[in-house]
Amino acid sequence: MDYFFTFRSVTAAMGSSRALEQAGIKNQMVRTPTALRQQGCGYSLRVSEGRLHETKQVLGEAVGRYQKIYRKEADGQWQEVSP
Amino acid sequence: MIYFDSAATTLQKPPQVAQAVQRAIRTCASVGRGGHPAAMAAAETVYGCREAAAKLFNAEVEQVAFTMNATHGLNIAIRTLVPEGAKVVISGFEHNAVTRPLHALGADITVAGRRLFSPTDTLWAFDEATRVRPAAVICTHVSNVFGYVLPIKEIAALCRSRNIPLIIDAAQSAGVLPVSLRESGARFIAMPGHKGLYGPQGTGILLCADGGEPLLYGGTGSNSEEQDMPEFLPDRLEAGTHNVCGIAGLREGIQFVTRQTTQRIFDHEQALLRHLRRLLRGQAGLELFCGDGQSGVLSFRVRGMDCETAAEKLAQQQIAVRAGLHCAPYAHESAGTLHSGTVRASFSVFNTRREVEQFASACKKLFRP
Repeated sequence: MDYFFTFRSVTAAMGSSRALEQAGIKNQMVRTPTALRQQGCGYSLRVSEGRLHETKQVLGEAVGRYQKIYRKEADGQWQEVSP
Repeated sequence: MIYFDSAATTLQKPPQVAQAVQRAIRTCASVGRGGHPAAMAAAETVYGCREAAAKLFNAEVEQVAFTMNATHGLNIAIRTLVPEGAKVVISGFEHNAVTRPLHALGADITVAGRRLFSPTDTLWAFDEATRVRPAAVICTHVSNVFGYVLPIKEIAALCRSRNIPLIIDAAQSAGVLPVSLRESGARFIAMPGHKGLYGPQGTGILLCADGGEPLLYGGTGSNSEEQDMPEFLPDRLEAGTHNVCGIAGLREGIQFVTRQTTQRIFDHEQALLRHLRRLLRGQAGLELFCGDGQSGVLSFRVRGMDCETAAEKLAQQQIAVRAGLHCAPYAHESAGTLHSGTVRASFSVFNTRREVEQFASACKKLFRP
């Protein structure tokens, strides 16, 4: 199962992606799915479930902290995860 | 050609700058406007440049806003900090990029420090002028006409101690002298990409300590449902599609400067300046403007000859310099050269001692009384 960390800007997402890469955490930068948008277009980082805890730790210290974390359920619904 | 006009634009660039521009025009789309590989390549390129600039200028990545040039950045900074009719303090060596926006706002301008190559006088004048608590202090780091290096660290400290926002015009110093957003405590630092950073024309950077008011309003690829511009940097100041190709080149230019180090570039230009001053000093008919604390810029006048004619004669010898007022009438007024203008020779890291010697030789031949 994948988790989506949403960001307010492409710069924030890119900076966070770099921070994760430096920490050895594989991630993919994608456009934020429409259902998750806060105020319009944005970018998210997709990480696997096994790296969730580490990702939160790394991004907690990184430039451009994420806005929210979402998990996509088996039925296709999005579930917000507490940060 | 001997190119001694780098204070306007560096013509010789590291080859990787042009290569990056070409690569970007083939592979990069718009930043923040899509999730496809070409949009992501653009985002990667632009972020890489932001990161390189943040590292070189001691700032956070999001504090780096891209502009068209230093003038664009200075306009944003001035419009953010200076209400109409407000008091501002500027140095006696400012460019029209500072003074024209202030004039348009009807600002109440105090000019502090008009003595050339006298940092003590400059600092004393700023100390006096800022007692009235102006809306902002705006100061160039280096005079584009005379190469006078102003005591910017001390002026920044003065502004910090009096809690006055400072705008630094780093048009002539970025890439040559240490420039630090964090250490200076400046509210804004504006610089071009096409001079000491060896990027393409049409690029610039505005370092922002804390937000800013946009000059342009429009799409940013973020907060699209809102009609207000985003509050956060850099999006707030970057409406519309970025100059991705230019920024790609600028990234390479900044990386080149970082590898060379500003200290080595400064030392090289200083060596050329000292050599040129030695060769020209004492030549009858030439009036040199020299002093301590001078960057790689040398202005001079030729007795009995218009500065434009002198520059034209040099151009006929395949030597590129700039003559006139250099868009800095305040600086010329300070130095007493407003009516005559000057001829300006300015260096880059690519100039050589041999070129300096050829230039001096041409001056001796062309400008003998």
